[in-house]
Amino acid sequence: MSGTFSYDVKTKENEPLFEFNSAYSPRVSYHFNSKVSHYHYGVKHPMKPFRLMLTDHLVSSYGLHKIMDLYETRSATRDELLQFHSEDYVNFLSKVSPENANKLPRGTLENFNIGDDCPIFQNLYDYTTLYTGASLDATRKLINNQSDIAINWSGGLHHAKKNSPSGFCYVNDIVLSILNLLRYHPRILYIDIDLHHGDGVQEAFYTTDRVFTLSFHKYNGEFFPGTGDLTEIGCDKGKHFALNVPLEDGIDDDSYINLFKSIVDPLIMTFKPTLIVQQCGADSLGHDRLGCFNLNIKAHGECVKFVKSFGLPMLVVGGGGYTPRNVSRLWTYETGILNDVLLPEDIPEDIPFRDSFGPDYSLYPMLDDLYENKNSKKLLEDIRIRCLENIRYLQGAPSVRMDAECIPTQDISALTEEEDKIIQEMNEETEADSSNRLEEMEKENSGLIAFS
Amino acid sequence: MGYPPPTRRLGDKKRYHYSNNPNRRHPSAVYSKNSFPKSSNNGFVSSPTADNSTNPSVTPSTASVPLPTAAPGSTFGIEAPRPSRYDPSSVSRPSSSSYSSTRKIGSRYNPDVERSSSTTSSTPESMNTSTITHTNTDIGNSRYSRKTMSRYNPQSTSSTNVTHFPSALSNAPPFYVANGSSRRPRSMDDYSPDVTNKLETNNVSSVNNNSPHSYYSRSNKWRSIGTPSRPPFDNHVGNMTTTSNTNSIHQREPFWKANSTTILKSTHSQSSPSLHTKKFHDANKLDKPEASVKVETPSKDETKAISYHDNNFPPRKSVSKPNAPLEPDNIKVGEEDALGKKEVHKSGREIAKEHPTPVKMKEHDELEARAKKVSKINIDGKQDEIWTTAKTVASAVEVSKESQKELTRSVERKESPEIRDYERAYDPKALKTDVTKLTVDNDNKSYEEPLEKVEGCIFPLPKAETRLWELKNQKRNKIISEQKYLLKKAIRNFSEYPFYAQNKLIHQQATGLILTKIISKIKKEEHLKKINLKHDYFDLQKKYEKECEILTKLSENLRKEEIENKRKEHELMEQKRREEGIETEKEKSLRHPSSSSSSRRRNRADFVDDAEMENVLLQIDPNYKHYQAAATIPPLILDPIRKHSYKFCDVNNLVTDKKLWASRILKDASDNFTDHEHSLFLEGYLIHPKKFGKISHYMGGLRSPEECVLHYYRTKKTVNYKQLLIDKNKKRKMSAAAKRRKRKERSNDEEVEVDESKEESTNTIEKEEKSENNAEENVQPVLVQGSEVKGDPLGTPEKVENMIEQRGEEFAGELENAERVNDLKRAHDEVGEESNKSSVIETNNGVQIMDPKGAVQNGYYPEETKELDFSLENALQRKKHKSAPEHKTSYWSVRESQLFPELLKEFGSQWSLISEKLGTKSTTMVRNYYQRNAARNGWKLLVDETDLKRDGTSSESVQQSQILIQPERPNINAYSNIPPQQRPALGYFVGQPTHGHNTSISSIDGSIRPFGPDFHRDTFSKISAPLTTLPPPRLPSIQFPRSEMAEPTVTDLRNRPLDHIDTLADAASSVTNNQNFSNERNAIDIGRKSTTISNLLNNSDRSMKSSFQSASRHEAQLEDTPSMNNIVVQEIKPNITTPRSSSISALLNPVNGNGQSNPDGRPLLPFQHAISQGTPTFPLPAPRTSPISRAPPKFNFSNDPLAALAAVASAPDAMSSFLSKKENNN
Repeated sequence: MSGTFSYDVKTKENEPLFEFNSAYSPRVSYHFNSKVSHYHYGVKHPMKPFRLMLTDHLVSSYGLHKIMDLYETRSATRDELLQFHSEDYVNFLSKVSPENANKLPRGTLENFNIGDDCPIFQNLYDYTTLYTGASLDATRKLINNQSDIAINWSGGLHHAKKNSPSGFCYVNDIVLSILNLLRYHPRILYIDIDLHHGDGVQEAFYTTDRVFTLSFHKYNGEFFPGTGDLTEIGCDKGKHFALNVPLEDGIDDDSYINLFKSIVDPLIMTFKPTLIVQQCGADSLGHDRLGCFNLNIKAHGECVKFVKSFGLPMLVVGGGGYTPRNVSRLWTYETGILNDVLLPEDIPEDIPFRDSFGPDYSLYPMLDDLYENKNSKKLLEDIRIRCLENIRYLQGAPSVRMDAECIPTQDISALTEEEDKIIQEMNEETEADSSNRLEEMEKENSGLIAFS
Repeated sequence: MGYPPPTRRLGDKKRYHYSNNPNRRHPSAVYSKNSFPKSSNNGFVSSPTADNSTNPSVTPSTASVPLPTAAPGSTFGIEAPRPSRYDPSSVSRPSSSSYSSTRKIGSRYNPDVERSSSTTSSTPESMNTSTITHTNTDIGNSRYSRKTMSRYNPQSTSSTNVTHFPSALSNAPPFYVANGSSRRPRSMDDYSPDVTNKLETNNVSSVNNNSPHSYYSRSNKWRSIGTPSRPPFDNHVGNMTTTSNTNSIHQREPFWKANSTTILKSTHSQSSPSLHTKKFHDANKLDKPEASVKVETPSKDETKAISYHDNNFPPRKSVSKPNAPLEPDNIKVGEEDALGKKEVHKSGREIAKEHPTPVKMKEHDELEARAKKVSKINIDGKQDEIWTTAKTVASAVEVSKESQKELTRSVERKESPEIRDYERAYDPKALKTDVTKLTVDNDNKSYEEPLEKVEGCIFPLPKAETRLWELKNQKRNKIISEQKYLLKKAIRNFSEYPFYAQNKLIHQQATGLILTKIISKIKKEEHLKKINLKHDYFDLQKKYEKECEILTKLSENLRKEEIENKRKEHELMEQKRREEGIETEKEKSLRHPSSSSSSRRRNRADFVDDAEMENVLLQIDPNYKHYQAAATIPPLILDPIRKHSYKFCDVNNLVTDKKLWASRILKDASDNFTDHEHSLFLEGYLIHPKKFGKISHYMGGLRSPEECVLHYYRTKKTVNYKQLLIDKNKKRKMSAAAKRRKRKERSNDEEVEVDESKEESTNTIEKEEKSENNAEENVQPVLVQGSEVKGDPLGTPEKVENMIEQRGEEFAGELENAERVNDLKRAHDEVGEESNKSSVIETNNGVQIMDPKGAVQNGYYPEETKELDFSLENALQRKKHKSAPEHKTSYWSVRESQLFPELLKEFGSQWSLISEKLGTKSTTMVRNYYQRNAARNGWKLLVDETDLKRDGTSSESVQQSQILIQPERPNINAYSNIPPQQRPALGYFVGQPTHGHNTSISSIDGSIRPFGPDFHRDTFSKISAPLTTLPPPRLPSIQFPRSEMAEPTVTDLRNRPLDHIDTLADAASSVTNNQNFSNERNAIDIGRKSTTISNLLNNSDRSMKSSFQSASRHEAQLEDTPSMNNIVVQEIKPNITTPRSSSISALLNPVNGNGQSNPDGRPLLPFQHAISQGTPTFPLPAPRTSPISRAPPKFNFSNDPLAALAAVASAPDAMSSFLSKKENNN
């Protein structure tokens, strides 16, 4: 841009801060509700919804809002939550408050896994419905083909279970979104690059072959949530439709990206999802308060870019991330990636909480200098091979092989006798038909011959 | 007839009316060859005469047609009227076939018809007789059908009519059936072409050509006929026959026109239409001779109906009409045995009438009744038999024979004209051309209908003119479509349209069934497809499982070593465990029994743990747990319609103004917490760190938790919350000791104060009042309360201020004391709410102690002091509630520290003033802060300077103020002298004014609506008036609202988001309101007041000001201001002026004990002057340096009605002046 052209002041004012990366850019929608950032988990809690405000600020100050659709979403309804969560739990969520938490019958809090990780804070339910509503709204836009990529940074709380919250997550908006999407999409791929294992989502779709859950995470058996070993591959019908990539501390950019690409690429090729849900937990970045990886923002974004390059509709949600400034940086960068634009390094001058981004005021700070990479090449290679082996299973999977329209979408154990009969009849009929047709053909032919 | 069907007809299917006809012919290629000649030759002569003697036109046509394919055709032709009618709506086209099949069974008549049709079709020639019979029967039907049709069409009574007229039913179905049997989809159309063919026996070719057009042309004719029909009303059967012929001709002709092949033809047709129309009408009329009334209506109805009818309709009509009259006769004949001729006749005729023209609603009832009769007759007599069985056929034949005899003549006549027509029309070239043209033109030619009856021979016209004529008549459709409003009985409901009933009927009988069939078929196929899919799936599944097995084996092979290693490790581990475990197990077994036994005990009680249940379930199904945790997968929506077309593109929540969204950047960081709120927040934060719900609660709901969170983040960088928390923890330890110490200090202070007050009682009081004023400005509720308690009774803030200036630093010192008290309070607050309460009580006690003394010195009666005490106690209680949320922090925020030097400049060493300015700091805090940092920052100079300055200015102002103040003192004494009993109770003053101003009272009383916007002015003027005249006591005696009352107001106010209170205007208005109220005394009811305050918040302070100004400027403005009490005010004017001023001054200087008498009117002005000049030393209005402090000076009366009361009582004018001054400043 420099040198060849020079702009007058006015032009410069209106010049976008970003540069378009390529001519193609999908329709991106950005789903948000500014209220989500107004909640606080409580003292010493690492999860800070405030990061969403920082993200919004960065996104808007970079001018990214100009090139995507903005949707200010409503909060999810109770019924929508009930699509996945149990009624008891939703009732509990909707009623509990810091004031009455102590008055609940004994054991309820424990029962619902309320504690340090998942405290009861003021207007908890509002918070959960807000971020869930944004995710669901994103799915609606995807279903209606109003957008190709829908972003909801406030969502992505992947730990929440059917009956209880877990790991700062109260309502699993990802599961709810996927359930919503499953009405229209036969196969959905869920990719989780959060530091933590996406156990809530995996659990929810452990038994189905319509959702493939793939999670890259730190795993040593103890690290929260304690699941996500390579051996967890789904069960029953959903066997081989879950894949976990356990990693050690301090994985760096290159190895992560390589591993990611080498797994995701064949996976998408074989599973042939019609939609991808990407969870972009930012705690896999280096310097995260709870993190232990050495990823830079660009490496993290590279994963998103790679997934996007398949040209499938995507639902992109946030997730973890406990250093708000880096979280907002990352998500802003990824918003730019999804919009196919490049963002300049310098953080815009005029944003309100610019102090947070000091001292370098850069969008791409160095984040990879904190931990030692404990992932040996051999380990990574081993993981890769095992994952690819797992993916090989998919090739013969009936629901993958069948046309998208033809996948039986309800659990079916076997054909009933009646159905068998019908099929037999049909087969006979078709045979009869064909034979009849043959006869007719012959007749016609003979007639023609006679005529001639 | 036999004319080979135009090729294009195949394609015509789209247009159902046309398509059917052609198609029908198509299949019957043989028919065309064979039958056509026959039909033309034999069919006409023989068959018509023999068979359908009754229907001249029809019979020939039928005969001609039937021969080839045609029994169906003939029958249908006769019945044509019905189908024709249906045709327009003729949605049923495709369905007709299926319908027919289904129908046949349903309708008794169908079978016969079908047979006939089938038979005829199979053996065209031989079957003539049979066809004839059929036709006869059909004719009978046709009559009925007509009747029914007519009825149906106009009346739109589908089912009832059907039942009534079995014939109708029969007709309709047979028609369908027959057609269906022959050619399904086209059945309807088929019959129509037949008819046309028949009619146009000679002109077969033309007919054929026309047939596609026939729709329009015929319909047009129909209409044309309809219109002209009215005049030539009474024609008879004899005419009928001819007419029928003419009709047939007519029909052909229009087609020709349509084709526009040759002018000759067109002329033909044109010429004929006129005739035709008349005749046709006649025919219709013939049918309707009896009901002359109806005739007109039918014409209209016709017009309506026409719009809905098909092409075929008119020809059929023509055919059917002739038949109709005949048929009734037949019926008569046949039924004579069973029933009386007359009735039959009537019915028949009526039916006939009805038939040609859709029956009107009016007549509907009558017709129905008749129809019923007819139907009964039919039913009773023969119909069932006729249609269902051979007997019926036979009888029908008989009937037809009888009728035939009569008709033979007509037939003969008919034939001749037809032949003529044929000859005229017949032009092979034209025919050929017609065909081609038809194919092209069909769609476009919709208008050939003579809208207006053509009198005489207009045609032939030149092409252009014919075209013009056509164009002129083109809008017929529109006209007709709009005629529904012109009808005698307008069509209001959709269901009143004739086609509605038709369609309904058709749907019931035909399309509905077809649809269900189709749908069921589709569903069946879907089901089958699903099963197939399942089948495929399971096949694949099997394969897949095999593959998986292979894969796992492969991988196992690959990893043999690994697995073995693992196994070894595992075994090793297990061995170790065993070795270690032996002991541990023992231990466990030792421990376990107790636990297990206990659990068993529990379990004995027939209930099982969830965990145990799950274990059991897990054993049963290893995947149980996974299934428990899994989501229920919704089925994929397979229905393509639902999936792809039922989508709701919701953009309701789309942000259209992206800039607005982006402007969040600007807004999000700006903190909108007031200092007061911030201090509250800080305190709350320190008590409940990061529990924003509790903080919000602690703030008294001023801010929502969400806002608090935001505030936290916004101030996070400026306020070191962590450090604060640490400090606070330290303080906690300190605070207990500090509390004790401070208590002592405070008691000392109080003593000092008391001493001072003894020495200079007025001064102390004034000082306190001053502090009150300041407090009011600074939104320091704590201060307000403290001072208010003292100041309320005296209520002369302005004067106090003057006095303060007079006194200079003395006051400052005293104020410091007062501040200290507050400080203590604050400290206690910080310690905790409990201690807070106690401290409040204590401080209040101190105040109480002071007050009485001051009051005594001021000349209060002891009784008064008692009351004061009481009121103080009330206030105390109030304070308890209030003091909770209001706190000060020792933390000096950046802003505050920046602000401090400026304040120093402004106020010098008047710590109290500074503290009030800062709001969050007590006097001692300020002083300490100063002492700590003075040396470092060189503040001393500042302070000294300003102190010097202030001394100078204060002395001046003191002089001024003293002048002002002195004279007013007596008034105060006056109030204070009043015995307490006289003090008005709440609302006392509502009635009071009578004493003061007789004139004003009544109006005031009547009009007093304490909360109305106009109220202030009047009340003010009113008040001022009574003040002078009345015994003064009432003014000073400020009614402390009962504590119970006060509480709600306070809480109310507190709960109300500060937004209301924050802004200057609001605050000012609220203050002024309060003033008014306190002045007024009308509104002392506090519950009300709280509401009034909120109400009045809306009033701009301008109005208030104006009110004050008006008051001061006397009548002129008062007059101008529209008010309920205007009249009264005017009356008051003269009185008001002087007294008020005096009263105000009195108000202003209540403390001036032994005053100089006040020169009326004077003092007010100077006083205002003084205020408006606004000496910078004045704490209240002084312009503030920092933006925040510049923010609206806080009259926090809204938070404290009592203070407001006091302030108002003391100085309404002062308030107003403040307001005005502020504006000036701004």
